[in-house]
Amino acid sequence: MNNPSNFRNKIQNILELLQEANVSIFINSVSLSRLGARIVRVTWPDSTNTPRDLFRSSITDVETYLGWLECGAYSALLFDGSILQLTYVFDGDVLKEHRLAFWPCPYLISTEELLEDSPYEVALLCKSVRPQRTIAPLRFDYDRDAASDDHAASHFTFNHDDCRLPVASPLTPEEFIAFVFKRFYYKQWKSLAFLRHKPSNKFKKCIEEEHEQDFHLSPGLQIFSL
Amino acid sequence: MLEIIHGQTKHQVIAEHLVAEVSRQSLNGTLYIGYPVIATADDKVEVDALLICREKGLVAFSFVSAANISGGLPHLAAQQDQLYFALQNNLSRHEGLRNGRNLAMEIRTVTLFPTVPTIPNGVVGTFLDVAGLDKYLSNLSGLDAQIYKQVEAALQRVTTIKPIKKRNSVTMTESMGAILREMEKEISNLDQWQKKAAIESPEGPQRIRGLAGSGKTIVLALKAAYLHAQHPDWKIAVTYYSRSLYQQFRDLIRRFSYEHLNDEPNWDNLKVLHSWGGTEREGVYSEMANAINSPVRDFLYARTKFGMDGAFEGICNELIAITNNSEPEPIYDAILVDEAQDLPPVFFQLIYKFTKAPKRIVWAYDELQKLSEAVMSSTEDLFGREADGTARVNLSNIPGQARQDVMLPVCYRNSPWALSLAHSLGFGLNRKVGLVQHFDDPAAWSEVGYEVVEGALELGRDVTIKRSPISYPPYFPRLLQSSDAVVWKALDSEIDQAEWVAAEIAKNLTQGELEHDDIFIVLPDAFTAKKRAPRIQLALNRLDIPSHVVGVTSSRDEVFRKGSIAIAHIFRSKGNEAPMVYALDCQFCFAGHELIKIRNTLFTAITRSRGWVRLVGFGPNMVALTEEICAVQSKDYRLKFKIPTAPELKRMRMINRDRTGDEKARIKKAERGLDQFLEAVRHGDLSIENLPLDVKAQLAELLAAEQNLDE
Repeated sequence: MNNPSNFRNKIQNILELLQEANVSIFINSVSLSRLGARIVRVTWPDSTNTPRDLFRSSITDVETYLGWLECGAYSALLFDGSILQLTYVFDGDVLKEHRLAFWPCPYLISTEELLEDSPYEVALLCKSVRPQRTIAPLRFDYDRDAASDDHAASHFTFNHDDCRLPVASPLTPEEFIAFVFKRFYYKQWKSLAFLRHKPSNKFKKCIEEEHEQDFHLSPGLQIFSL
Repeated sequence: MLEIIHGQTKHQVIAEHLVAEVSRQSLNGTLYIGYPVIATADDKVEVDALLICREKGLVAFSFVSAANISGGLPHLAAQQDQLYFALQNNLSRHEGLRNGRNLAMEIRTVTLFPTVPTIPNGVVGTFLDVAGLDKYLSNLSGLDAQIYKQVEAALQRVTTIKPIKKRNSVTMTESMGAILREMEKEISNLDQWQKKAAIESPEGPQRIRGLAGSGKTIVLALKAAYLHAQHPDWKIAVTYYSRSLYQQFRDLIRRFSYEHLNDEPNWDNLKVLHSWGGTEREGVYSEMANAINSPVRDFLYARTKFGMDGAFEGICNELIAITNNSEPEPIYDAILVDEAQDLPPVFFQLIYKFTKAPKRIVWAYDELQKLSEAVMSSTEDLFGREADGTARVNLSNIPGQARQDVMLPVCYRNSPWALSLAHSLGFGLNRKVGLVQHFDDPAAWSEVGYEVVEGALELGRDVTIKRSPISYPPYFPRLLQSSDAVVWKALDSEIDQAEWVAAEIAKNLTQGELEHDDIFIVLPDAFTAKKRAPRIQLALNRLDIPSHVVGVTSSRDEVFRKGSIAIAHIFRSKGNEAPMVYALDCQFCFAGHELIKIRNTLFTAITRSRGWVRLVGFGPNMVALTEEICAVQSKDYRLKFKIPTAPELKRMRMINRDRTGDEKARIKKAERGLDQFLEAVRHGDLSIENLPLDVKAQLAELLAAEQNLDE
């Protein structure tokens, strides 16, 4: 059930549905790359030439968003210029890492503008003429091997690079997408049934008790209801 | 036949006399004025003229005007020695011209005076005036055929433009990669028209035109380098519209400079400048604005004030208005403009003001970028008129002088078959319901390289035309088959299209021995390109073939990328070319409201190809399009059609024109209304019999007229 191939299919299908529904303007094919004997990464294609240090840049920096846009380093570019990034790393059939990010577009850009020209160039132009909105990118990270007392294996980052809100379990692609759309794109959420399709699998809880006693996020399948 | 190439010289009068005298001699060869450009280890050497012909071999001339004999004759003799050795050096580089350790031919040097002074004893050299030339030449012996050919080739080699790709991985002799290797080697030699166009420089404006892919950029670059070599103190600017040309110009100019002068050009005097300039770089516009202390407007200001399309024109208009009251001090001795069709006329009027007399302005443009629309303003409109109504610039070719209006007839980029097909589809020549567009003047067909096979190029007449043999380089028919150069494929669905293209590309990369960046996928509709590209990428991914979408997963300026297949929509592909082009979604270009626009798109897509083109699409419209394609192929790429009459031209232009936003909205509404009407009829809510009589009559009339056109 949980393996690179399945996840690749799931993500590819969701992305294509988003594209069909005109919610996304552009999607990158999901690719599998072998990183080791049993390690496989599911993400957007390597050929985007994404510079590695973008991954270390601050979540609060507009330049980071622009960097993703410039290379096309995302899973989907949404109709409003926002970016979805989904990456999963498997060790055999066991999930080892994930990185699920949502970068809302810092400027008010129309879909026409994004379709007509290079999105990066359009955003650059907006940077000089349009006001920058105060909105926060967010990211769900999971790292099986990095769990420690002060570092939950699955955590949520937003508003600040050091923010690590513990999350009860890793997220499946459906849960992540549902979260983004139900909470930030309710209009689309209501009209697109495929977003609300409850999946059959869910990751097991992986949260330490002390984190559970603390403020934390607990993904539940109720997210898929209207 | 003696060809005369009028390069740059300070001694115009002597040059003219030399030309006249030599032309009388019935020689076969070339007389270069102001060429070649050569240098010794220390200095540039002036070659005022060079005669190379079978009958008399090689003679190099130095001109001296009466006032110039400072240092006296011994000095001039030394000059001849210098000239001799510089030429010897230059020519000995070529193996074919050596005989063992010596040059296989004689180099004669002559100093030419208006009237020959007395030669004192001990001064060795040939000193003549024009009157003495005849006798001198009669004593010269000629060259044997083999050596003569080699010398001509050596002199004609204005510069070596080595192929960019080595293609070392090509192993098979007949693969596409091997064919490309051959083509790229051949294309690196300038042809006679290009060489002549590069060197010939009139004392005044010059226009260079040709189809896309005829080598105008190279000609401009070499001309700039040549002018700079002849006049190192001149302020020369080379300018253009596409930012990507900067590097190309710099490289070519530098290469010429090193080959002939062993030196870097002086970039302070010879500037390669974008027409506008930006915050990081100077441009011609910003130089001009700075020269008169006017604020330099940036893209932001321009776009906000004048809108996206009129941005550059707007700021040029602003600048020229400022100069109306006081003429600016000219800054350029010569200015060369590439892609002139993309720059507004007011830009030319500005540079006219800022260029010193005699207004050495050279501009180059692509004929037929937009098919039947007048691409390029007429020269009168470009430079405007004086207060009394006379045109500022008039071009005419006066025999015996450097030409002002130069045509480059050979299209190197597109095969004659692809070009003929592109014209046929672009103009709709084989379209069942009639042509889409046509030139106002049918003679334009021969201007762009077609010859008449049957009929005549007159309005209302039938005509059959084909590409004339001089319009394409011989390597096309030699290396390519027309059946492979142009291929069409009609599929059933979008998925089929993506799969077929991916499979073909996989073959191109293996059996074809092509590299990823040799292949270009073009989508016709800019607006939907981002939506359609992922399907193709998915199919390519299945076969482990990386790809990128220009402007989305690659920067706008990085069209081709090693190891990845480029996918672009038509606007991004302008100016770019690739050996293998896949034009997808061709069905979009078959019919529609803005027919001229979409047929132009098809034309642009096909002409991106340097070798092979694949026209792919799906659905019934694609099938209909293939009928037009087959009509051309079945006649062996001859174009047979009836040239419209003047009223027909007018009507065509009207119904196929680009629409405004409002018009498009109205059209959409009307179409929806029609759909609703048909739906109502099918549903039984409405019956045709019960329509009001006059409505029925109008409908019947319109449909009947359409039927007639079909037949």
